[in-house]
Amino acid sequence: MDERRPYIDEIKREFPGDVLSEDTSTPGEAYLTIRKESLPRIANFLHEVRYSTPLLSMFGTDERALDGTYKVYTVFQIPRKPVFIILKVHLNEGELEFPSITPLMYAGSPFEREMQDMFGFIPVGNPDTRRMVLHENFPRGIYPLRKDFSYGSTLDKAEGQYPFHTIEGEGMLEIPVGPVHAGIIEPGHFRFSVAGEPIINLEIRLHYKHKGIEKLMETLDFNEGCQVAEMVSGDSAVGHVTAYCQAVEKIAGIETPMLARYNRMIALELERLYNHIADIGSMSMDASFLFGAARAGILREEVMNLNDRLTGSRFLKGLVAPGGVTRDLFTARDDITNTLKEVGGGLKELVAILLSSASFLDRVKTTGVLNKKTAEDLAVTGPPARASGIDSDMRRDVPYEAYGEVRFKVPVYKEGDVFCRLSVRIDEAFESINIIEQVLKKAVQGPLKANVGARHAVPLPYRYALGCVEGWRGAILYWIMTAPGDKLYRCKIKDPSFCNWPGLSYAVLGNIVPDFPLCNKSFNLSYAGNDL
Amino acid sequence: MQKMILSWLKRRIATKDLKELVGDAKLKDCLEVVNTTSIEEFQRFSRRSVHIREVDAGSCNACELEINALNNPVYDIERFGIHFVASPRHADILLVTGPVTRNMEMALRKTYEATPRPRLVVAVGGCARDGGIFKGSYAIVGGVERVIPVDAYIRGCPPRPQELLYGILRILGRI
Ligand code: SF4
Repeated sequence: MDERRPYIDEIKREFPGDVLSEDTSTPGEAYLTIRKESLPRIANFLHEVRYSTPLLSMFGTDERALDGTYKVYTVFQIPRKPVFIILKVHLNEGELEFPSITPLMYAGSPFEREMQDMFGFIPVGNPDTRRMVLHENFPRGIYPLRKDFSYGSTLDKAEGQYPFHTIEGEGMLEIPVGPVHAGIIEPGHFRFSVAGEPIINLEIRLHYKHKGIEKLMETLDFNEGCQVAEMVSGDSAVGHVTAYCQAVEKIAGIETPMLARYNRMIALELERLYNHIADIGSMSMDASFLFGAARAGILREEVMNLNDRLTGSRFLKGLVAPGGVTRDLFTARDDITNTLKEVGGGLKELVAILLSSASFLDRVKTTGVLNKKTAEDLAVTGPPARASGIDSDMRRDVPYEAYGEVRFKVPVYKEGDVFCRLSVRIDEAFESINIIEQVLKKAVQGPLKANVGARHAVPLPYRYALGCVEGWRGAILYWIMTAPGDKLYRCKIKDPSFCNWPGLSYAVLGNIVPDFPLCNKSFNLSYAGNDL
Repeated sequence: MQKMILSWLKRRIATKDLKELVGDAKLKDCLEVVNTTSIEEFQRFSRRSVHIREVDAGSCNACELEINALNNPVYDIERFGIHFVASPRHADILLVTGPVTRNMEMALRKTYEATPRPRLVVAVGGCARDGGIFKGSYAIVGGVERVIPVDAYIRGCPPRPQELLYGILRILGRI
């Protein structure tokens, strides 16, 4: 039986008359067109009342060329099931208001603000109506993702001040930091309100790096889009491009060859490995345990050099392409095995040292707690979610590529502090090595790539599908709609950072400012992936 | 634990020989000097330590990761007296990455203005050259030179740590 059916039926039963139509033509995805007014109720039913399903993404489209309307898509995943429920709401031209889901589920807020900037939709009831993506220098009244706005538009320069929240009271102090930070990191603005040492409020302002990536995608065909997906967030190049390719392949109805799937898994796990090692290092660094940072730096470098030998790119760029992969990593089987053995051994020693250092543990334990309820409300994914007791991992729940064929543990911790986020990363790094070892044992032959050329071209324009990957930071989601001539009509990118950033601003509350870098590193979020 | 650390200290040193790192003749393609005068002038006084402030003006973050790698024990740029500093007011060189986004334009300009002279601006990566793949976007201003004067470019997407090291040491006249 179709796994989606019971959920669709239940929603229809609970909300008679609200579901206008359903579309189940894309496998695993159920699109329900609902009455605009019912959006918050049905969303809340999915999110909280019935399934506590995480909100994975929410985005707008300009489909006026098709049926004269704009649309709002709200994507949920049924926990631990490969089932996506996508609520679809039509907005007519001139009636761009829709009821905000934010009062019932806070996770919706940044998505709604994004749509407000990019499409001019009006989320009625969202208490935060400040601009987000487009800073003050953008003139008002421009909506970049509308179809009548062109990618290359030259815009005037406007001015203004961003209305930060102000926290007032006796002894309150404000510490503004950024956008240019102290370290070699990406730009963003943090505004701490402190009373003495503890942080009372942290407001994070991002989108300094907004480059118009989603609009750029709309000017490309789906082969070109692949290259851009690798540049959304450089440290997650493989995760992003794989999610992108999955969506394209679903639309084109292509079966990716087994050999390609295994290759992608190796690359995805190498990416997770080098990033997790780097994070273990930077957490040691920010806890002033420099020895740990130095060792992790050396180990990470070994993985990066392996990547370089395998693909000619230290970030594994250029490997994944629509239909499969461009080269076969199995030919370097011995190199991978030997390097990982060394890295695994080194990591084990490093972890033993870290976890036996009382001063280090003192810094990381009970620091930066994100509790489970808050994490759920914010739809946090990835290591921060698993460190706060949320048992979700796309590799296991929606076994894409060939993750169903390997055995691996999904580490889940309860306390939600820096130590738990560190522990999740440590466990996952070892699991990545374990997964790669299992994959390398597979004896597979066959093509590396299915043909996605003209012959297999997307049969109909305006078809859509989701691609979903558990990146090392959390769930990466791509939603693609095609246009005639293999072009992309819309490409919604959701980097896990987008939902995890608010998580950080809650985790630091009550902590002292000097612990902020440590908390920040324990999340290690992408600015580029968030800002698009 | 002490034993383990001691046994590590006895191992082969992880830091690579400079010759091994920048000996490759192909590396010279990664550096493009546009303002020879300012660089020569700079070299005359920068015989000792040099301080760099890194500014990300809109990159995809891979450029940052490679610059960051310069600080790890393998490349260990500090051994050449080159430090990354927290404030532009302490910097001699600005290392700028990314296409400059509209939202970062002002911050980049202010950072530049806060850097005391003599100062150099080195733009890193294809995006910083002319916007790279994002060239022509409504949301970017363009390459770094559209906002502040650039003295040299280090090419690559992203440039490898070796290339960055080579570029920086060449600019300083050390190799
Ligand atoms: S040059 Fe390449 S690596 Fe550097 S920011 Fe641009 S896309 Fe990223």
